[in-house]
Amino acid sequence: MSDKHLIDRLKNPATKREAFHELVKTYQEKLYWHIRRMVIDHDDTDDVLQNVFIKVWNSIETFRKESMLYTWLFRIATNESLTHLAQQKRRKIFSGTIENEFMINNLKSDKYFDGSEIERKLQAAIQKLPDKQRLVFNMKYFQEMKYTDMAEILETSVGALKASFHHAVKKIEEDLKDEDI
Amino acid sequence: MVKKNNIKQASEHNPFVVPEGYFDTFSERLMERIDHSEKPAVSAPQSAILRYLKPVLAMVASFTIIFMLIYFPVQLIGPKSLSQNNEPFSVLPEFMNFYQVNDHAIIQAFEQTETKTEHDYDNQFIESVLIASLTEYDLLQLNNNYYEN
Repeated sequence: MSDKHLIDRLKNPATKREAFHELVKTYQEKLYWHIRRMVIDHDDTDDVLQNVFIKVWNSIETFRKESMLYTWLFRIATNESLTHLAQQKRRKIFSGTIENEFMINNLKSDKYFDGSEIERKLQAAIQKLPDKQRLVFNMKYFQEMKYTDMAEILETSVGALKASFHHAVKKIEEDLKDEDI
Repeated sequence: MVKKNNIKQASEHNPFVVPEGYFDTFSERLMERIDHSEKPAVSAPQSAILRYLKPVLAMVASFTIIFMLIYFPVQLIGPKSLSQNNEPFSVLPEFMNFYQVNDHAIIQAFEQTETKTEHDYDNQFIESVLIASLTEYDLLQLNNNYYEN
């Protein structure tokens, strides 16, 4: 079914619920992994993902048909993830935790992380990146998104994204240089 | 080379896992939350009015309490002269009638008093300052002076 048809049904009160269920089923996994790579903890990811779909439910009437549904959903998910991280960072810094150190702690305490020591070190190196750089790295490296799609979601230029990705790779390589992997 | 291969392997495998059946039940849990959050929105309009009024009422109550906390102690422990000075205000019309004091007499009397600040104010303000400072005795004296002159 095309996005256009799905949107029409979402905007119709009689078919909204059924269409929304289909939308959730279609996008839940893609959005989950997009958020999870950013916030790391599964329970936090679950909260953020629910908030994303609740926002979609409440504001679908304002969605413009000329935008792509996929782009719109990823944009909401990105903003919600960054907002969640900013709130978490404020709380942790207030309690004396060094910036981004809490992300590594999240990784260590996440009971749904089932990686080897190498994977843990790689993830720890990724968590040390600034939020937006990490976002770009994850979208390009793990989700293999096109720069043009990323530019639309993040509302920035392809050039800026390429530069950001290049810096992120350099930092990760630098961080892993001394690690025995 | 070995290192690069290790990193490549590490990045290809997804080390994050989800609880079993998470995606199967997500939609149902989400709809429950949406239904739950929408229920209060369609409840009685009274609750909506109360919701808007609550902060206003709380603010009014706070100001009232603050006012009472300041006003009554000041009334109780404040200098008595304050309340005495207010006396001429409350009895002034009676005095003016009884002693037949007019505005002119008041201004004249004011000029004879030790007050030196009249040039700093307009006449209307001077009158109110003067009236506030007059006592029954002053008014009696004023009246006598006026008729003697």
